[in-house]
Amino acid sequence: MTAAVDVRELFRIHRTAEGDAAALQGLTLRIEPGELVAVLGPSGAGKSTLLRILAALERPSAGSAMVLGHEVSGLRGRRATEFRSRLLGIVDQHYGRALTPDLRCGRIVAQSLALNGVDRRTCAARADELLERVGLEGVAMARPAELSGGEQQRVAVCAAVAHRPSLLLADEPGGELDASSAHAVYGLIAELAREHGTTVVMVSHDPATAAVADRSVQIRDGRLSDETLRHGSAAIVVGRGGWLRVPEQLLRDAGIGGRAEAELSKEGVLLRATGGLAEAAPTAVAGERHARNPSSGTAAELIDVHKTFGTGRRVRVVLDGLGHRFAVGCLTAVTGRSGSGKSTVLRLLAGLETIDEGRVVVLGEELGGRLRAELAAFRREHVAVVAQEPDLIGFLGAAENITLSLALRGVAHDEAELRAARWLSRVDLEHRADQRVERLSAGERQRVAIARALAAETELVVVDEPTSRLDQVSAALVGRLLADACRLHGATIICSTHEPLVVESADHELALEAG
Amino acid sequence: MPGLRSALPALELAWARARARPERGLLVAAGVAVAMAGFGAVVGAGTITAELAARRSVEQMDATQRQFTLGWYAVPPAAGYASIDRRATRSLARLSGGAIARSLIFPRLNLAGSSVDLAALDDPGRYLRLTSGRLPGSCTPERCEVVQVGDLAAPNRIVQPGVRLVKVGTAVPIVPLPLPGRAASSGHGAPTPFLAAGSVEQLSGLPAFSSLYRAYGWSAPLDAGTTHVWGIDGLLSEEARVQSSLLYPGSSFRIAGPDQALLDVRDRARIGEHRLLLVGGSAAALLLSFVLLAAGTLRADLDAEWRRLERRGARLWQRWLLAAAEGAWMTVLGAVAGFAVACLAVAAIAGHNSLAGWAVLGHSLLDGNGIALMIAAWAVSLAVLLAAERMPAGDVRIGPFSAIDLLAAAALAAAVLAAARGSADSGDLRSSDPLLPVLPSLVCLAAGVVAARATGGIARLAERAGRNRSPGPRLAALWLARGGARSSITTGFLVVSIGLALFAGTYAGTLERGERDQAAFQVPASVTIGEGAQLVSPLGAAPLGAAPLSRFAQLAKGGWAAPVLRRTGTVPLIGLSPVPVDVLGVPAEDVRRLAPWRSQYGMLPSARPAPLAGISLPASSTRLSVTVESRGVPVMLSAAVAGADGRLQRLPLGVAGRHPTRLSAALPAGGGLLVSLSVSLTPEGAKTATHQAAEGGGANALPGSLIVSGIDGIDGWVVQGGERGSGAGFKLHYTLGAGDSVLLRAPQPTDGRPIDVIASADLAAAAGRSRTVQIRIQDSVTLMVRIASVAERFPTLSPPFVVADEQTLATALNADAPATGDPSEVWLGGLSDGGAGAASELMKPPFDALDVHTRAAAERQLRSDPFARGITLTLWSAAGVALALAVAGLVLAVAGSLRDERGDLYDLEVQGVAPVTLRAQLRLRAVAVTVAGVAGGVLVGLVLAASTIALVALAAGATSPQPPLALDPGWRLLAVTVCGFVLVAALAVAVLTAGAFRETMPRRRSGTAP
Repeated sequence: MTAAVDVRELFRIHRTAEGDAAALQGLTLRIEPGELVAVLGPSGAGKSTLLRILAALERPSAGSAMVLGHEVSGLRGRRATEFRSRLLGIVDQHYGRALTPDLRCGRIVAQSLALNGVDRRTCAARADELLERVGLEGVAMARPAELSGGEQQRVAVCAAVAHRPSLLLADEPGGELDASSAHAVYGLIAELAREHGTTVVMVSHDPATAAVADRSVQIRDGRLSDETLRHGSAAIVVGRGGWLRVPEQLLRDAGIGGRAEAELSKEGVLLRATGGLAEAAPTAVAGERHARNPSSGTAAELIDVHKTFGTGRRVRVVLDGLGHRFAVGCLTAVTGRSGSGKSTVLRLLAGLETIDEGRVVVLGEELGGRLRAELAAFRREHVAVVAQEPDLIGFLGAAENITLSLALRGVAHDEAELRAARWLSRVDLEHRADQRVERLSAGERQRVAIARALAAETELVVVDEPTSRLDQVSAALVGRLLADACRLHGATIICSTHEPLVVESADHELALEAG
Repeated sequence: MPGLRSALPALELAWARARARPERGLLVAAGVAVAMAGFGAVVGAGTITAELAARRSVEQMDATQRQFTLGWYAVPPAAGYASIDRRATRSLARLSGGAIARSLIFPRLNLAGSSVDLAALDDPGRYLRLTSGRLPGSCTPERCEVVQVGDLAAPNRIVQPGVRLVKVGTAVPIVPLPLPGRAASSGHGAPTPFLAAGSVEQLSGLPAFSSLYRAYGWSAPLDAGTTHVWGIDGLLSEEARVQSSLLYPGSSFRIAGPDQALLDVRDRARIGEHRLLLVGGSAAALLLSFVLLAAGTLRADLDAEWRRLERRGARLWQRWLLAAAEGAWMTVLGAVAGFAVACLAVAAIAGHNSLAGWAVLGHSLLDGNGIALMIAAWAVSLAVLLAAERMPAGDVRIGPFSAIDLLAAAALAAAVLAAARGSADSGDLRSSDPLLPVLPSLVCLAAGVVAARATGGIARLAERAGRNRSPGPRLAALWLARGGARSSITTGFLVVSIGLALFAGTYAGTLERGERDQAAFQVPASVTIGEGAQLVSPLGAAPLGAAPLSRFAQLAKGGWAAPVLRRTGTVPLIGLSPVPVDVLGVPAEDVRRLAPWRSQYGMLPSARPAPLAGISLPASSTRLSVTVESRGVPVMLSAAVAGADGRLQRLPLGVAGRHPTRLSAALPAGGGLLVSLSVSLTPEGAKTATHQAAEGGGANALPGSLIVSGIDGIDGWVVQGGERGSGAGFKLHYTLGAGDSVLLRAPQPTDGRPIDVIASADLAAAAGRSRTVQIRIQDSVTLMVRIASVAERFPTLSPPFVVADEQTLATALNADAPATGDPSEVWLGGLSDGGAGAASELMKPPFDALDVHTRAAAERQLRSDPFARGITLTLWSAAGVALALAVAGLVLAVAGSLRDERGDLYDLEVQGVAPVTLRAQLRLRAVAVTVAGVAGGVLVGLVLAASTIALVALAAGATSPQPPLALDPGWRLLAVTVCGFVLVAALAVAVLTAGAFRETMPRRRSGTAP
């Protein structure tokens, strides 16, 4: 049977003024028709690049990629658009950017059909059918901005499958959603795809996608490293020429560092350390100040906070008399479903939102009633913020973004450069320090934003879903980093998250219910 | 249908985007509208200017030339006069709507022994003013009434078989008579009496003349009000068709019209129109640069939509359709609005100039070419918008160079190559010289790219230097240096728009200054007074009771009056025939008063005046007496006496006898100065000399001598044309021929030393290192002049020329040729009212015979030229439009920054940057690009104006100016304009940014639910 996707020895080098970067380094992957494959991997592993190549939006530097019988590296111009138009559906990771803000949702869903010349009535019927199917009946006349993130992403999924594509490419479809919304979207994709026998390649950092996938494959350093079938059997992928990637945990446990020797044993191939000791695990940087005792006071406090959004019929109560104290020097995880008000809490604490009733006290200062300029000055002095969708300055490099932020907070240039290098190293991005942020992957950008916030060394750090675009390893790293920041620097960190690894690292948890 | 249906989503999306965020496109549309309005107004202004020029030219045509005439030169056809009259009338009606004048003239007739010119004029009262009697009535064989035209008397009755002419009055023509084959001066001084009957048809029908050859004439005037520049070609073609229709076998018709004059009118109008292309080209450059700016501000948003559609599977053409539809509504809206505004403006300007607005529009903006031009302008702007929106974000490189840099270099090279062809004069501009419209675009493209590149470089330096500055300047420098192409594009646009505005203003100012210069060149002082048609010199016309010059000085009322001496001489150059040279004498101190702004005029060195020397005659003296005794040929004497008024008079003293004879002459009142005595042959002596020569007696000169006595102080005098003898008294020896004279004169301060002059460059070059030149004037005086300074030009003169101190020149002339040094002109200067009062006085006797010119009138004349008015008005308007567009562009760029950078700005505020700092950095960026734009714009404006002035050797009135145009940046106006622009721009940016970051809380780039 002809594979839906047959990728062999795929290379992709991004050439930039700041240096070349290899996104894919000999990736080989075969996907059967109707199969739903989750492509997992850490940020920067090349997941999105693979998807762009499969969609003929980008050309590989070397190798071949047959998609639905088309060699996509040879598809250009009209043939490429015909290919996308007829055969592909694409779900973007940023639903906000994927949906045309000026069209109503019904028209957005029907757009791919309309672009293929389907008459308006059929388009409308199909859009209504799909929206109803995903539980969004009645939103056909709404504009995307009127919907929640989960709703928008569901609209985006509908738009991607409306023309019944043979292959659905989904890039981090739950990347900007809370866990439950993300799971719902994954399920929805799987359901819609299976209904129509659509092949799905779903790129994600979220292991939860594996639950809906027939097969999960891991990408590391631009290659396929291992794969897991739905029923649980896992295997390391052996590439052409015998390339394979041994899981880091195994290497660590075996004490294997930079070199190893392999020998044939009865059970197979035995790998053992040679030529030296295993590399030491990173330790805390010497000279950093030690943590104060946690919970010795209150860094921030929400007192009987009420907050509603919208007006008239669309009014929506988000916080209804919420009260909470955030302990000094602690990592507090704010958890809850989508729409429970996690981001609102964080924005209130950062002085980026007003309250309807109640009080917000941060570092002993009442934020309510302050002018916008006063709140900005307060943030400059005391609060660092990591937004869920970090708005880093795209034309600056990763390190420059950090040094600029520190300079704006009055940190001397040399000191700022030192801190930038240190914190980029902490988030494992020192090799990307000079790369323009607009060229980094979403996960890398998120890590830069975290480094920037922590480098500010403010008393309070507010972090909104810091792991939404990170794989588990990176998420664990971020969890540790945040905890360390509290422990080593005495910072108070309030972090909204759905990531259990971060929640595990937290000193406290504030679980919110909707309203 | 599916194909058509698949186009709908793109159109629907464009419509949805336009409806959701109309402000995004409306600002672009407004800018396009302004630019298109400017462009359209230039097109219309060209037609208005050409039309006004054509009207003026037609009005200025000689009346005899300004008509179509049809002549029939034969005996009348068998069908009679009526048949050819019908044909002629019909034909002329196709060419002119004016009343047709009919006439008939016979060859000179001998009637009853009287030779007469006999003619007939329909409605003779149109052409004749009766001096006696009445106008003729009917003309029948029994009694054909005629009127005598002119002074030559004709018999009252001329009777011969078959005809009886009766003179009923006399008349003189008040306008040229429309007679075929007869000069315009018909009736004046005709050698035979001229008689005119009052009906062509009746005179033509007299049987007595039926077999006589004659000329019938029909003429129809060309009406300036109905002769349109756009109709000239059609009119000439119609004339050709009429001509061919009249040239049937046996026809004796001939048609004549002002063909060449009309062609000249058309060509001159075309010159003006073509020169307006310069402004049109500027408007086009402005339009395109604004479109580029607009594309820069729209790009990010469209790019996002483009990518969405690409992922959604939209074909390339569907994506382009979206871009085109979106660009189209903006540009169509702008183009239509601009076109409408242009039409209104053109109609209003046409109405203001008494032209029919609809007619002008119908032959400019609303004719096929006009509409096609506007559609083309819209299409090009849309194409540029789309291309710029979809251009690759980074530099497209061709080898080591970026494509845009190569394009700019090519534009610059093309401009230089085009300029290297040399200047375009009115001859070049008769054809469609592509240089004019293209030059601004080429220069602007190069300047815009250079400015954009320079902005990036300077901003990068500023960014490095500003790393330790406060957040506002630092952020501003950072965004300018690295925040994408918007700042560079904005700077480039401002350089182009401000440059074009200043170019238009500077060029208009220069043209206006050129008009003043031309007027000052034609009329060097406030008023110049010269000989009138009756050859009365100014000083001759002034009252004799007082010193004439002081009389003119009185007219000057506090100003100055300068006597001016103008002569023509020749300069003998080695190996060449003598070259004519203009010689002008102006008081040295007054040369400095002549338009001191023109260094090219040169200066005369300050030197002692050289007044005429001679023997002073007391005021009480009434007669001049001298005792003379001659030998040989009989001679007569005359004296040259300078009167109290300074004018030299020749006083005839009488004929010298063989014995001591006392000769005398009456002196003018007030005494004077005896300057010289002149000895010449008596008329008899001259006859003798001539006769002797004719009979072969050798030379026609006769020897003689003369002893002069009785005048004190004559001993030191010098002799010219003879030799001084020794002995008692003043003895002269000479040989005189007819026309010769011997001059006995007082030594003059100009004797033996050259006169300092200002000389033209060519004469100075011919003089070489010696810097002295001999100028022969009127074959009687040879002036040795020393070139004290060289002038490129001098008012009223054409090279080669010399300008000397008037008194010194007069002395030198009077010394060798008495009474030839009188001033021929008087210049009045420094008049507070510009000479209006003096000019009014000079209209009255005794000055009314003089030729009076005022500089103010000359300026008015130049300014009233339709071309001058058209080009200057258009240029000033273009300057205003360009500045308005510059402000709009800046606002567009700042608004675009606020929209496209809101994510970055939000992030900065989240990092703790205060809203006031965000506003400040936006304003600082606007200030920086404005400063760079203004600096570059001033440079571009001056370069463009200077190169245009160098390349287009035309004055405002589309003529070759004398003196040539000189760049006049008008620094004060320039400074005021720049300050005004900066102020308005600052205000606009301040207003635009004042509302930014004012909400209670910052908002993220897109609406998010909690």
